[in-house]
Amino acid sequence: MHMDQQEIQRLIQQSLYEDPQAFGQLVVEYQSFVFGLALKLTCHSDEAEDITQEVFIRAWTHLPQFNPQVKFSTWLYKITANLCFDWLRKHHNHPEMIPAEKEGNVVEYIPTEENITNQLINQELVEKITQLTQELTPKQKLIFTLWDLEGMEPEEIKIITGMSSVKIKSNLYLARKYIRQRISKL
Amino acid sequence: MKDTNQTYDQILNDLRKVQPIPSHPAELTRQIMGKINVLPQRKKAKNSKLKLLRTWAQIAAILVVGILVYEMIKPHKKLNFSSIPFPEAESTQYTEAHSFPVKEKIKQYIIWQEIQTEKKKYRKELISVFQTSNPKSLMP
Repeated sequence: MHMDQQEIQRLIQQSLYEDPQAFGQLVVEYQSFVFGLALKLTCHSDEAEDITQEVFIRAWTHLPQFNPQVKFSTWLYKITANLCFDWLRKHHNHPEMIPAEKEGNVVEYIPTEENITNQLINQELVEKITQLTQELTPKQKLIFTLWDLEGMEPEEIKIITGMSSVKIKSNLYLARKYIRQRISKL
Repeated sequence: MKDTNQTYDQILNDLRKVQPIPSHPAELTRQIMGKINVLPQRKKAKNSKLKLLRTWAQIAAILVVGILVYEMIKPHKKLNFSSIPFPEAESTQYTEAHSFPVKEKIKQYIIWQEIQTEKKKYRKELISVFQTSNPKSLMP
C-alpha cells in the first residue's frame, strides 16, 4: 500500500464531493487488490476485470454510505466478495455457463512485455487454484481464499462475509480437508 | 500425513507470493473512470433541518397516539349517586313565594283595561281640539 490512511481519507472526502479525479487515485491504488481477489475467486481473468469495474462503480455510487470506522480496503473487499460470491453461486451448479476467456484481449491492445508477463502469471495462478479448489462450495472457496490465500484476520473476514465465527471456521475446516485430499491424490 | 501438510503449506506459500495484476492496468482504470463519468450525480444528503423536523414530528405523533390510548384505557372515577340528596320534596312543595294567584291577576287586568280606555278618550279629545284650532293642517 503506497498511500497512508490520512491521504486515503482525504481522497474519500474529495470523492464524496463528486471529484472523480480523487476517486481515480483510489482506483489506481486499489484496483490490483480488488482484481487479485476477484481472480482468485472466479479463476477467470475477463470476469475478474468485469467484477473489478463493477466494484468501483458501486463504491462510487454508494460512497456516502461508507462507514469511516471500517478500512476502505475492507469495504472494497466486501463489495468484491459479494459480487464474486453471487458469480460463484451462479456458476457452481452450471459450470458450462462460464464464458470462455476472450482471446481478443491481446489483439485489442498492443501487448507489451509486461502485459504478457502479467497474463502468464495470472494464468499460472488460476490453474493452480482451480486444480485445488474446483470442487469447493462457494462459501468454502470464499473463506479459504480470504483466510489462507489473502491472509486476512478473522475479524476482517467476519465483516466482509457477514458470517459468524463458527460458520467461518467450519467452512475453512472443510475447505482445508478437501484441498489436503486433493494434494495427496496429486 | 506430514508430507501432505508440508506440501499444503508449501503450495499456500507459493500462492500467497503471487499478486495477480490486471493485464492492462491503465486501460482498466480508464474504463472504470469512463463509466463513472457517465453516471448521473449522486443524490445529495438530505437537509439536516428537514431530518430534525421529521424527528420532532414523529415524537409528537407518538405522544398524541399515546395520550389517546391512555384516555381510552384509563380507569374512570365511579360516581356515588346515593351520596347526593334527591330534591324531590323541594320541587313538589307549594310555597307562597312561588305561587301565582289568579284573583290578583284579574284585578291587574281590569285596571290595565281602564287605563287603556282613559288613554283612548284623552287621545280623541286631543285630536278634536287640534282640528278645531287649525283645520287646514289636516287637509291634503
